[in-house]
Amino acid sequence: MTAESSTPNGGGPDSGPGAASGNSATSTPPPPGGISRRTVVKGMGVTLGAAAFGIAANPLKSFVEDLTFDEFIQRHYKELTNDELTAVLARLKTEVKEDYGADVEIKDHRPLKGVKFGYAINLSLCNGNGKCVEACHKENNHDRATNQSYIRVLEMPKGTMDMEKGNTTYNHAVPLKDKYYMPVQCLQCDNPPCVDVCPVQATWKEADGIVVVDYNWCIGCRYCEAACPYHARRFNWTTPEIPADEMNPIQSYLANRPRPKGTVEKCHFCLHKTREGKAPACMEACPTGARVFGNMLDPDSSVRWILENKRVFVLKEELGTQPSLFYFFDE
Amino acid sequence: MASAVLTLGCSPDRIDLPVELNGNEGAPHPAVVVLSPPDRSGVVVESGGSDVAIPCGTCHATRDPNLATRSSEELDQFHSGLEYAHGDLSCLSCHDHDDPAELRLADGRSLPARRSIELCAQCHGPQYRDYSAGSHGGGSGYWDKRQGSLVRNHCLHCHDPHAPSFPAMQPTFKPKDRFLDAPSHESPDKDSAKKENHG
Repeated sequence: MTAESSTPNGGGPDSGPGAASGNSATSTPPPPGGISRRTVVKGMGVTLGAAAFGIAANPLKSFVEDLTFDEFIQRHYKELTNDELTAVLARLKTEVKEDYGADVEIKDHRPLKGVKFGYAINLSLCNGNGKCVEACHKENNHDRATNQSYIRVLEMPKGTMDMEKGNTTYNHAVPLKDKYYMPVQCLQCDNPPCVDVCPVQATWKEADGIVVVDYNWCIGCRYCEAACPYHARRFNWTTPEIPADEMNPIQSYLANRPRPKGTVEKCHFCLHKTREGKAPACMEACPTGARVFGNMLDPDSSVRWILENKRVFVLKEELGTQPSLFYFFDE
Repeated sequence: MASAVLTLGCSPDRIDLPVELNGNEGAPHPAVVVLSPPDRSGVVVESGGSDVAIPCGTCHATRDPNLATRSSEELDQFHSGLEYAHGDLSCLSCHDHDDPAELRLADGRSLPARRSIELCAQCHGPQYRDYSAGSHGGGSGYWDKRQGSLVRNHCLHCHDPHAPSFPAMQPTFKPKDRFLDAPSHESPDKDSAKKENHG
């Protein structure tokens, strides 16, 4: 190695700024050894680059330990062919068995034709007992350690619809006379801000109105969580803990299959049930009959009757999010 | 509006109630099935260490009805512990004094006890309208009438006819915040602990 080439390019006191110094080096005639300065510098760059990449990628090692190769190369849900999707569902089933010891069935439920889901909640009937919160927790295989659920019930002072005035941690016999109770979950907006902000298109709105998440595509940046004006999205800080005997085995790719750590999730109107014509778990659990779910495109549906005959409002209407979940009061 | 009617499930002879619902004629299953109400056709008394159901007529067939009775406090032999909080009605506003196992409509006609929804509807018109439209009373099963039946509650599943206001409940399932509910070495900040604001 010559004395000249031992000086790093651009590092010497007399070298020019930026890339120009590299170009000027080529004008130097090759030393007697036959190795140009440029070749040596290139070689050093490769070596340094590899080392730098190794260091930069170090934090990923622990992340990659949780990630199989098949999972890493898996394409976006919408780009999967039928064969690929079948393979993905089979792999996920195996992973749930390995990670949780539970035998489950993971399907891919597609939107039903001619269906636009609507949900109406009667705030005159809801008494804040929270059975819907619990039903969601069990149905959707939520983390047991945090009592995670897609639903929060806000205890609200009468006379305001300002969510910020609500409280979710009340723990007394309900209802109180000067309060009303408002369950809040994903409103499945027609103009969803959470979808707009996703940098990788891991969340989108489907034809039946449900806003879904591809948990394997989500990078966990939480932009959507910040963008949602209803605080409807949840982040998995840890790998969810679910005992095998409590795992709901009826699962769907975009719905209640166990979510990986570091991903965002949200209410999907129980699409693993509702896309089979069944009622969502929170409606079935409601002891006051406050929840009415159905197809807004069916003029004979109960939810349509409510929209046409009741005093209906949506949360934060001024934001223009156009929710598919409505609140109403009896006269 | 189609002519499908509410059908009482769980009973051997399904009864058509005169409740018009948006229906699905020709479908393989009824659009809506209403669960049979709890059996209230008698009183249960303890006899010889076991519960025995006694039909209403056992006592009432031999006693003269007292049209003025409005409260269980006026009774000293049976029904004396009955909680009663249903307006200013007398017992015989709803119970048929000629056939004590059955009900009686306001116009004097007798009504089979299992059709008590019609009795309730005499006074609670808005609730009956909302119930018929599917906006009161809840449901489980199927939202899609083409695929299965929506199973509905009967009035008496949620409302005790003698004290019909919906009872207070104690919430049993609350979210546990991973920050706020974690054991802390510092004194808890009460203001921030009131609200659960984290995903």
